[in-house]
Amino acid sequence: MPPFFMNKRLILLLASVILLVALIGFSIKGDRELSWPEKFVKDSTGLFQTVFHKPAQFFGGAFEEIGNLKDTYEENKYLKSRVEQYASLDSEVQRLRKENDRLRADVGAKTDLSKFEPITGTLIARNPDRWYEYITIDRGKQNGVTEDMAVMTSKGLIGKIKSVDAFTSTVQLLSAQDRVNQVPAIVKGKENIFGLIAGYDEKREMLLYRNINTSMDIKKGDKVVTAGNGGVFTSELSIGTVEDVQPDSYGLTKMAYVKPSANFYDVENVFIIKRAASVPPEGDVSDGDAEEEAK
Amino acid sequence: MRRFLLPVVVLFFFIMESTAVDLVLIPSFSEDMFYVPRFTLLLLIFVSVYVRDGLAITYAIVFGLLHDIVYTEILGVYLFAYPFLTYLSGKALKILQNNAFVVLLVGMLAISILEFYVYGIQLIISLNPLNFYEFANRRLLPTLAVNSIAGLVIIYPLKSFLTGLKRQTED
Repeated sequence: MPPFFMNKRLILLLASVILLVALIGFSIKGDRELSWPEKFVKDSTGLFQTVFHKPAQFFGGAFEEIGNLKDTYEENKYLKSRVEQYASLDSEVQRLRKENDRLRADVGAKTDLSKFEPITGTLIARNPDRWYEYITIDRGKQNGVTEDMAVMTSKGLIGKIKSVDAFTSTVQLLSAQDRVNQVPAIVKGKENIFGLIAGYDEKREMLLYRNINTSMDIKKGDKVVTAGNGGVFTSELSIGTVEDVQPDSYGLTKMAYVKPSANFYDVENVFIIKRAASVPPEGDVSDGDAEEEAK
Repeated sequence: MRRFLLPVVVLFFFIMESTAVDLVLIPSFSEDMFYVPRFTLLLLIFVSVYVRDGLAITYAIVFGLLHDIVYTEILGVYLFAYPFLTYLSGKALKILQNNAFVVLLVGMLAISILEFYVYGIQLIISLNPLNFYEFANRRLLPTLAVNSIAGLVIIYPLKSFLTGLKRQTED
């Protein structure tokens, strides 16, 4: 027995295993705030990442552009046909916007959950082990970013801010497997249907939209957007389209597969959505909100 | 000046990982295949073979912690894995002959152990982890393929660089 415990290396190994378990347990606690040394380290590496990523992206982009050149003719033809529609669409938008403003003034609505100011940022790093779908962007507290803000590309929502440092911040993509990675969302069918984007099916590469009442009518092709009443997100940010509807694992509710409109793997420039309507203080969000507005 | 050269090189590879995974698309891989660049671990193993294994373990601790803080925000996973694997590979290569091919082979073995270890942790803490078949097909094999190619490319320049560094520090 004694030689077994006398082995110094073995003791060291056991001690480090215990330390490992303790540290992991400490870190996966849901509401953990990053400590200042962590923030400092993330900021400093963010600086290096920016320095590396910019030239790499430049060269990568050059190759991509050469590839794009081949399709230019086809694209040009298609775009020309679209431009003609654009002018009429534009005047229509102008008219609707004016009408909307007038109606808003009539009703006396002050807050608008869909108003936002975008903060533009650039991706500087992606988590190399893909177990956690995190990306780092080059905007931080100094630029007005706070936790839980929505992040989108020009195509649609990609995730939310997980942690903020002074000059960089970490974005958790919608595809990340995390218990608290949920976004309140609306399916725009015949009527608005409220639910949660919660989870990601890696095999089908689609988001899961849960908590739909079985009586609700939801079809393939329906648009899914953010709800905006869940706290800090603005409403009407595009998430994707419904591809498939299935009963949930317990059979009580339905679950829809949503094809995200943004590509999570081809992210370059992002917008961080800063909501214009004030954010309710924590713990002040009443549970009945979603049902009330659904009526 | 020479003292700072090695840390800078390791840091370069460390940051390369996050850039490569974003920008380098491997043509014949389908969309659902993930590869994880493990250049830092490869480099640490080279350091332990061609310079000194004590130095390599120190670097492994520092960069393991850095990996945890910067990329995953879950402390402890790589902080434990990098030193442990560097130590084992260093010991193994003391016994085996250390020509470049054997070093790469041990490196690949270390990377597979690391992948299995991280997968094991995911099984415990993740909500709906991949099943084993998917893990092996979509993660492990592409990762090994990419890293062995990258390893082949970087091992000779790094070998001459590291042995040169060792000679200079011994003088």
